[in-house]
Amino acid sequence: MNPSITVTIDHQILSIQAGQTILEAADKAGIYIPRLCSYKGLPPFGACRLCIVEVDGMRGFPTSCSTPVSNGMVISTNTSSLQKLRANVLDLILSEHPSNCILCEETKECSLYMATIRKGEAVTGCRSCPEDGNCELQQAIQYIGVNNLSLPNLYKGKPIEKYDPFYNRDYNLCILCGRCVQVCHSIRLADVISFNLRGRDTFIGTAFNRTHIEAGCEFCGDCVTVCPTGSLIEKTRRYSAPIEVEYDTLCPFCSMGCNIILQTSKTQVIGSLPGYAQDGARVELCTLGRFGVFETVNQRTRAKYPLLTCGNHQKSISWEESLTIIVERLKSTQPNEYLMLISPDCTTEDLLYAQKFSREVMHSDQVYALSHTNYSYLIGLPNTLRFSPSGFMTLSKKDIILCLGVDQRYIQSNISLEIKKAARRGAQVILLQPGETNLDRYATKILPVNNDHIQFVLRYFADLVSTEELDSKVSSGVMIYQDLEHIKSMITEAEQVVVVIGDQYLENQTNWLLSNWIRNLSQNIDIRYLLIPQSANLETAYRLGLARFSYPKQDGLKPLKFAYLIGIQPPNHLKLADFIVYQNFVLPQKSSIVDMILPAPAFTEEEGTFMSFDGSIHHLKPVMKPFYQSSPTWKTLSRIAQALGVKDFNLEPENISDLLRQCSDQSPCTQNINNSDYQYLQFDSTNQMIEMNLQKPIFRGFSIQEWVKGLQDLPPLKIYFPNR
Amino acid sequence: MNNLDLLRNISDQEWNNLQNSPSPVIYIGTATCGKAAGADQVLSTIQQYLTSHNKEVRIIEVGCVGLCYLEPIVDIQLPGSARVSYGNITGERLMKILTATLENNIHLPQYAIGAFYDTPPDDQPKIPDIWQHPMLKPQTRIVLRNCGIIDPHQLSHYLAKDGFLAFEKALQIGADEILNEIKKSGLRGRGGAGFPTYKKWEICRCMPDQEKYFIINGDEGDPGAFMNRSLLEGDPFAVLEGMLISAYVIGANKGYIYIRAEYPLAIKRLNNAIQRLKQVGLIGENILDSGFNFNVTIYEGAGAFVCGEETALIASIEGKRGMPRPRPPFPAVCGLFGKPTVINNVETVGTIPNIIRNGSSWYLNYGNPENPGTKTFSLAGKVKRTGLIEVPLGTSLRTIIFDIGGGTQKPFKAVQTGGPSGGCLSEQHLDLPVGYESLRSAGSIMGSGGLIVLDNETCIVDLAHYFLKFTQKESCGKCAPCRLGTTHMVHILDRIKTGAGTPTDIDNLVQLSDTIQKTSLCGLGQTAPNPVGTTINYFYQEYFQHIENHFCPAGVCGGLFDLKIIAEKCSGCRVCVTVCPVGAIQGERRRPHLIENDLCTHCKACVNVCRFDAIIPIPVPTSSPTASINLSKSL
Repeated sequence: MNPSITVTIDHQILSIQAGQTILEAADKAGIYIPRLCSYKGLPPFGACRLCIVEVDGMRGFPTSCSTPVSNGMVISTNTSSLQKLRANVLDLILSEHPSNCILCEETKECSLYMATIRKGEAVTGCRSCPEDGNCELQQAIQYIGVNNLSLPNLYKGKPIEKYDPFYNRDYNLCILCGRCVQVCHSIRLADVISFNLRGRDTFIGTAFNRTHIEAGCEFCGDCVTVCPTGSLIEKTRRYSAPIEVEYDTLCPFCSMGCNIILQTSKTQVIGSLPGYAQDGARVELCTLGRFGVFETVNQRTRAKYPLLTCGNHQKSISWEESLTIIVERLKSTQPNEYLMLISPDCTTEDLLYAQKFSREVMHSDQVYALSHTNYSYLIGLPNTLRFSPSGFMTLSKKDIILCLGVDQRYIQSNISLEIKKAARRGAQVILLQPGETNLDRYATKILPVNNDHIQFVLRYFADLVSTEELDSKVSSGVMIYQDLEHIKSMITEAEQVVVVIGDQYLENQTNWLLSNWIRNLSQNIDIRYLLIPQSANLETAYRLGLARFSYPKQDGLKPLKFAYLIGIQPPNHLKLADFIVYQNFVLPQKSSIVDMILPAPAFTEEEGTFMSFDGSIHHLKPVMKPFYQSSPTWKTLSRIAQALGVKDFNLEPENISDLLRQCSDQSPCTQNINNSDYQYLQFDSTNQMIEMNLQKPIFRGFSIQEWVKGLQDLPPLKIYFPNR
Repeated sequence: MNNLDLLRNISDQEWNNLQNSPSPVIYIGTATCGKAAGADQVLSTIQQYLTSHNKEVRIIEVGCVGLCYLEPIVDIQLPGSARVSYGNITGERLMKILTATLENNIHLPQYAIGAFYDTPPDDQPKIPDIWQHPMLKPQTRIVLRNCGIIDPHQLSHYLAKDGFLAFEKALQIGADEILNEIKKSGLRGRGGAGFPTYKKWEICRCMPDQEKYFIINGDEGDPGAFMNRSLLEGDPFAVLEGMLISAYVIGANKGYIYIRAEYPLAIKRLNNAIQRLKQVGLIGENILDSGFNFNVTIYEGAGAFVCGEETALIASIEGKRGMPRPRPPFPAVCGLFGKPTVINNVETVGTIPNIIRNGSSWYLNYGNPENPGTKTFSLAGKVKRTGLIEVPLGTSLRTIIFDIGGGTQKPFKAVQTGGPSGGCLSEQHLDLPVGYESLRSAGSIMGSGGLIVLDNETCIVDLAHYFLKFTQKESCGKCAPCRLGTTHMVHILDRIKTGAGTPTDIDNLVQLSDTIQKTSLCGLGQTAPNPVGTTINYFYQEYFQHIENHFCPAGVCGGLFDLKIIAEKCSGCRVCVTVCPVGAIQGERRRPHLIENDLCTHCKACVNVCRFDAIIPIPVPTSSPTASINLSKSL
């Protein structure tokens, strides 16, 4: 607790805490000092020179962002000298920035009529800049005022850097505040960009003019978030309407449960920013949460109306008609002729209603939340062994972080950030992976293992390998004995071991070996696991007993009369049932294979709850009205149940919060489920995945990269030994 | 070993033997100034001569004695007589001297600079006492006492010259006493800022951290400054002794010497000195059994002037981009790798052993109470005698330029002090004493000691432009006032230099200067506009002529002058006619000549050869084609 001291700012006597800067103290007291390079969470940089103040007894004009307060300090923040100097410095900054609109006489008229003039690529003034109205340079100009822009304009004339995915860089707008460099270096530990050259030629960029992909950029978007001007801008924001409102909500793309802030215009979701955690700290996002929202919810193949397949085309029908048809079909469907498949990234409400409907209304057990990624056996690991990411802060020299098949170069890169920080604190990082990742720099030991050999390694750790097998692997050059032995002994000698489970090696036998190994080790050493499935609501699905990791084989099931797919695409090569209903927020890839398409809202348009990987509950808030006639799945199922004459099936409640309350009363989220109870999980003996060749990451039955084009530019893992 | 007595005895003997050598000894100045003048060739010629003539003669390479305008300098010591210093040694002259001294055992006074007499002679000797040389007489060489005299490679030479007495004394009397001595001596940082040295040490000494660093700043980026270079090349052991004492006081066990990579000879000689000290245990663990450990690393710069700034230097050693950071925190509290660090200039550190050895009251005999002691200066430019000098602070500019430097050939115009951070002082300022505050009051600074003398052939506007271009290129680019402010100032000066200046330019320059000085992050930016400020103040007429009359009175700025022969001064000797590359000069022998301006390319070859100063720059007549080019540029 810092001692209390007294300072005077602009004749106001303030009692404040020592150990802060003048700028921080002024902010807390509500006294505004202009600034452009200072940013909360970043160390003071002192580049923009706008936050200068006058301090009695200190000569010159110290910057308030870097000067600590001391007892008895007398500070003036807005004397006439300061005003003049700030205006001159701002003049200088604006002399290398496209400033046409600032003093133009037409500026008021122009902004009334030109809502989005950004048709051209080059920004020539505020009106053609995507950050118009949101720009911190504009705010500084408003407060400080400009001196007729007396200096000649030194526009740099650099080409716009647009050949990397997700965000463009127009360094003609860059004011060299250094925030992006600082955030990439001190917050994200990625060191992708820095200042290059010096003097007038100074520019921000990667080393040796590499592309951002080559330089190891994780596309976390932090630099874009902190950029005060329109220099760094999301590609999807460049031609969008200005942002009107921002909302706090949840990122739906995996089970981390990161808070995001959705930026919206009146009619559209424009983009997302990192949100804030419970403790008020800014959340770190990954590529999906930061850049994936716009293209996911705004893409052209959104489902709008209920559609009925007639021959080889779709006919638009009303909701009543569609429900009537469904009810007819269901009346003549036996429990074993019925199948419901739902995606584990649907809301808890959808999952709950899916289960309730299938079991109570259709009396069928054939309802599965189908995960495209195989977390079998691993999802059942005991809660007591689960590791919380906040625990990374406590790891140090005697602890080991064992990453198994983890590739967090882009997706979930915020977790690899925590691992990097723990490594810097001394924790030992061991990587078992098939190719080069962003953790290589921080690893104590790297064991290159491709898919063919991971089971051998796990059996070796579990002492299940015979000497003959070991000899053959070593002599064929596949494994190095010393490496294996070293890692094994490191694990046994560590104080705490955290196993981070990635998705490079997931496969039934491997999962089973891993899960057993962890359970057995937990009896002797302090070992935890960290598994963050890429499906947002897999934990709920698991607890409801719905989770399934393999597609039911055709001959495992009798011929079906009715299949209801929610957020799941039907297989191409076989007709799953006589009548297939598909409900999702986008149209299926091949509309002709399904018999009916029902539009569901996107995550930005619906309310719901999710349970993240650690069991905590998060809420989704709708920020837009449902798209056209889309309606939530749980509502549809409720109406079908009602139409089938089922009483007390949670009739269609008008009040969403009622529904939420009812769900949470019934949902096992608030109950204690014995996780070692395997009876709800069913696996085929053969465990074949028939058709699921979707490229990860996956959302509601699609590879996200089909919508979010930038993901297609990201390079695959560089495999260590492609031929072995 | 716990003291240097044994080593000292051997060294004294060695030095004595050298002074009383039964065979001749040749000392040759091979510092960078000497090498630039051709000392390497002189050395190999001497070596060849000695081999072919079968002579047993020792050759000792020494540093720079400060008479750079006389390099290459060779001293010859014949048995039984004083060492005689010869200057401007090349080719024929060298042979004459070698023959005379080595064959005939006589000296040649006509080529001698002076002799190093043990006791100054009473009568007027044929070869004068070297210390009576007009360039050396007004100087007080304390820091530079050994430069050009001893071999910088030999620890024994340094020991024989009272080397490491100060360090041994420091270990005896303790750090607090040393700190007190430095405080009493009033020593201020010689790198330019003039911060009291003892204060910096005290702050760092009081920090509780175990890990501390001492850094010597040898970046010396000022164009035309070579004080630090000469000291490092001529007497590196002195700097290292100073470093040991300083580190001992603040409690640092690790030192860095940051030298610009453009000083390879200094780096080499310093490295050699460090290795030598390691061999005898004066660098390493438990030095002289005192329990004091100290190790030093040389860190080379990479061509950035801004890395002479403390925090940028620290960033550079840390492996980061050399960019300053805001202070507080100051390096003495939180510096290299976050630990308390003291950074001192080479000269400051080189002064320390002298103060400790002779006492602070001795030091206070020189200079004045606010500016005690001596300061080295690199005297360069249009003076007759350029070189490295050391004078008591408070010495007037007039003494330095006219007595020591011998004045200028052409009429004196200005003296530029303090490098790119300083300003130009005019004739009216010649009686100002050199010192920290005295020059500041006139708008300039003493800086690290660069003194560039200018005559009427230097264009002040061109000079301001040169310095501003320098700082603009060297700016690290972090803060807008420096990065962009200097750019705009350079652009304005560009236009003035090419005749496209406008009347508002001066006001703009002044306003930009004010902003840059007051709001820049570091010293580079804060002092970058200084050359412009002083030149506008004291040489306003020149700016005015450039802007209003499109005329450069010094005849430098292209397109802003024509050349004219003053008939009264022209003797018709026709030397100019022979050097003119385009045959633009016409006239009869022994009659005043005429320059045809349409043919003249303004190369000024004629100006350079005219012994009568008869050719002067004149404004371009408005009817000439050049004038119309100027006019179109200013539109």
